[in-house]
Amino acid sequence: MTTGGVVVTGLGAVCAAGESLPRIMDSLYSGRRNPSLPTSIQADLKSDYPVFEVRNPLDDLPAIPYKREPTRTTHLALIAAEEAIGSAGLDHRMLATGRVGVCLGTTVGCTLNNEPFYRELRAGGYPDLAPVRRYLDGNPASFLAEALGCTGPVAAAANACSSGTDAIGLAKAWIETGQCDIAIAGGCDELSRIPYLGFIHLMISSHQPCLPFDKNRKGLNLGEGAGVVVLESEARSRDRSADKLASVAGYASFADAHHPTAPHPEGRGLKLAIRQALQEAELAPDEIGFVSAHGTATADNDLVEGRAVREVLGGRVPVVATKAYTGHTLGAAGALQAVFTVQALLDGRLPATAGFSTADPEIGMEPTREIVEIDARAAISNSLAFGGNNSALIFRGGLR
Amino acid sequence: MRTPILGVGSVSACGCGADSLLAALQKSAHPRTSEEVICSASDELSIPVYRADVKGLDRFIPRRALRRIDRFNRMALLASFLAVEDSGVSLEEKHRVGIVFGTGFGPLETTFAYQDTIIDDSDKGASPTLFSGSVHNSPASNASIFMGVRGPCLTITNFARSTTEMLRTAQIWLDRGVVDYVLAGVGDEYHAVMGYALSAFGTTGTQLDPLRFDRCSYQPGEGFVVLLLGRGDRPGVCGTIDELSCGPSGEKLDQDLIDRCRAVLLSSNGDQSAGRSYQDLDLSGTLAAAYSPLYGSLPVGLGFDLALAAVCIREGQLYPLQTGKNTSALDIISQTEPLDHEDRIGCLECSADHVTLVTITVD
Amino acid sequence: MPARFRETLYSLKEVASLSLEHELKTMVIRELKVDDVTPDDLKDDDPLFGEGLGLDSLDAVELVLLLQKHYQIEIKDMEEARKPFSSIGALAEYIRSRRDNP
Repeated sequence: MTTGGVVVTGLGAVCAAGESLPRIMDSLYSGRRNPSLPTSIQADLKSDYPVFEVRNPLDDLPAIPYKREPTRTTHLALIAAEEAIGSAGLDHRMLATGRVGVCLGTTVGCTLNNEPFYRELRAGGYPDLAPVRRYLDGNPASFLAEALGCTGPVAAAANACSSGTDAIGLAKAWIETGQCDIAIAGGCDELSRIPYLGFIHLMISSHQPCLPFDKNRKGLNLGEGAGVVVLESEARSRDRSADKLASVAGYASFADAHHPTAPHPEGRGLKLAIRQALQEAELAPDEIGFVSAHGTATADNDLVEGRAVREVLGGRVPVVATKAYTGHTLGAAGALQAVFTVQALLDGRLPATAGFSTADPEIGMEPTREIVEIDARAAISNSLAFGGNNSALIFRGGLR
Repeated sequence: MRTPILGVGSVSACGCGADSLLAALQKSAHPRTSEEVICSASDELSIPVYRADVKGLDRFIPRRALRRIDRFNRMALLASFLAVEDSGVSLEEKHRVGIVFGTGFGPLETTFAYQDTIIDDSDKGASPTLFSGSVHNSPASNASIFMGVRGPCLTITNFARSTTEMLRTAQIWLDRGVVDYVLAGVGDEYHAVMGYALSAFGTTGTQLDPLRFDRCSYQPGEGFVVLLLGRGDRPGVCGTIDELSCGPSGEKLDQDLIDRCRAVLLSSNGDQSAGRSYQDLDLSGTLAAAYSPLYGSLPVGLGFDLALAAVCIREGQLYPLQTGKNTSALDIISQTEPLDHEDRIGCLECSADHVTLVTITVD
Repeated sequence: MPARFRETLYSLKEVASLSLEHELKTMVIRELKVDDVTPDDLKDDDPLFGEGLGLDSLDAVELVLLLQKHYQIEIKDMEEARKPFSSIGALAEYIRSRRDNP
């Protein structure tokens, strides 16, 4: 059992808002977002649904070196991991010698959803097996672990929209129980027609850029990207005089046990998760400086999440919904939120939640309308997943 | 970390429930296989597929409530309910129960049924119901919904490593008191698309010979197994998991751990590339068995071996299994071996990238 | 129009309207897999959602897809669907009105 807590020593991210964390934060603080019609995927539908896409191809962006061709989902993770490891002051050699774990959340990254392959097979053809080989070799966690030579635990969390938060929560537990000293944790997902068409037909996708928590919100926009944090035991980080960016003070996850796609109307799982995370972090609700919300801009999520946050943390805590800038990046979502949460604590500043203008009286709280200077010592990041999982991560830190 | 196994539930080619695993071990029943014809560009191959059959789920869930639940999810549900029933435990505080499942391929039938709707009815015909059922975490979320389980629910998916990390998660949750019970399960299902892929990866259609390492004899299996695990202060009726050790492939095993095992169950399953790793192990002086001919070849085979080990422990015996040609130097169990208090069974899994050893002690 | 033709027209219309309701019942039962219910069990004004047939929000969006697929009727948002989805009778009436006013 390790003494001391678990700390964050590195951050990395890539998404439509920017190809590195500084660029992402710059977009957020400028209130700049760039939803657009998809270019890397095509759909034959009557209407258009904007998405938050990263450039294509990704080759020019610095990434963990690889020998085999990664899938786009894995490539996004390699880019974010490269930035995170660099920002932690670690080099690849150090990761191959210690006990280092890799824990990444994903949804697209673990599914065999190569349409041309399946279409050809269904049509009676004998398609080349390269897509299957890429799929079998393409598990993001395994690929990253192999590229870095990591010898600790290696897991891919497939927990739908809370995968990224859960991956970080699991990696934290690995370090706390001595399974590894360092963990590279986060989440990744690329834009794919499979969930794109799925969410559209669930009628929770919006034709417009998303409006989180807004009275007139009409649904989510999909996005793609990856978020990665480097976690270490506090002792280990002290030993190598690493820059401690924040500590991971609490993590909790509870299932609604309610419905495959709709959240529990009273947010029972989310409220439990927030309360339990607060208890672990030994914090009172009013010590939470801000909330990084799941905030997908669907009718159900924002209503349930907003009310739960108001009930447990009070209606005045600042709330930011970064999906306004990133879209819903599925497996990456919780991880991108985590990276943002730590950075915002360091910056002492919160961006406005782009797209929000009119409060919804049914929710009874609203996200940030403009940049807010804050002096927060702790913040919470929420995820609510399809299937009813609710997860909360609490970071403690402060102005750098 | 000590993790008692309180109950076993399973759906596999052996049938449904711990009794079906025992019957297969005792040879009073045989696993069900059905011949599947796989066509590739160059030839046609007939392979036996270890088919699971879901029977008796309506004892736990009314038929109507299952209308949207696909076969893979039904396997997971039945295995979960059977594990709890087998344990005799009444799960009272539902937010103190967790679910962690591992799967290699997830709900394959629904994954392709969803793609069928897009192919057949074009993009505007994509079925939202099939999409929501195709996600890897649908078995865990359905188990949570139908059993009312409200603790953490997690799905781990990295092919052959899924069982290891699933089990590690369960042990951590219980050891730290996050929950009091965990439904720890793994499963995968067979699909014709996989059959097509297997034909190119060298499946030969011959008998599954797990101890024959000079060729591929991978015969796809499917099913779901769930262990109900409890906290360390309880006795494990089906044994107590005490060590979980996982390292990169090729790393030397902890010889101490192996020496303390009465016998080792190898998860070798006819996959030739992993087979080489098994062959390189130094298991001289250790009794071994390979049970994959009871359930077939699938990424999460280690989980099935854990379930079989648990059943053996409860019976107080380890059973031999004829496994065809043995090209290894292993000392294979050839007769029923009694298991005594404090005996240990090891479950050993090798793949291209890792080696895992789980040890279970007889309480 | 001669009276007897009007009568025939009305009875044909009755037949046509009966068959749309029946058709919808068959489709809902088959496609949403509510197979412990027969079309004859399901009355035109039985609630479809919540009580009655007991469908839920996931069935609702699947029903939107089915309407588009089988009747070429598009529903743009779930608010629009609330009244038509309340019962088979309401749904049939909605389909007819959309057909009459394309």
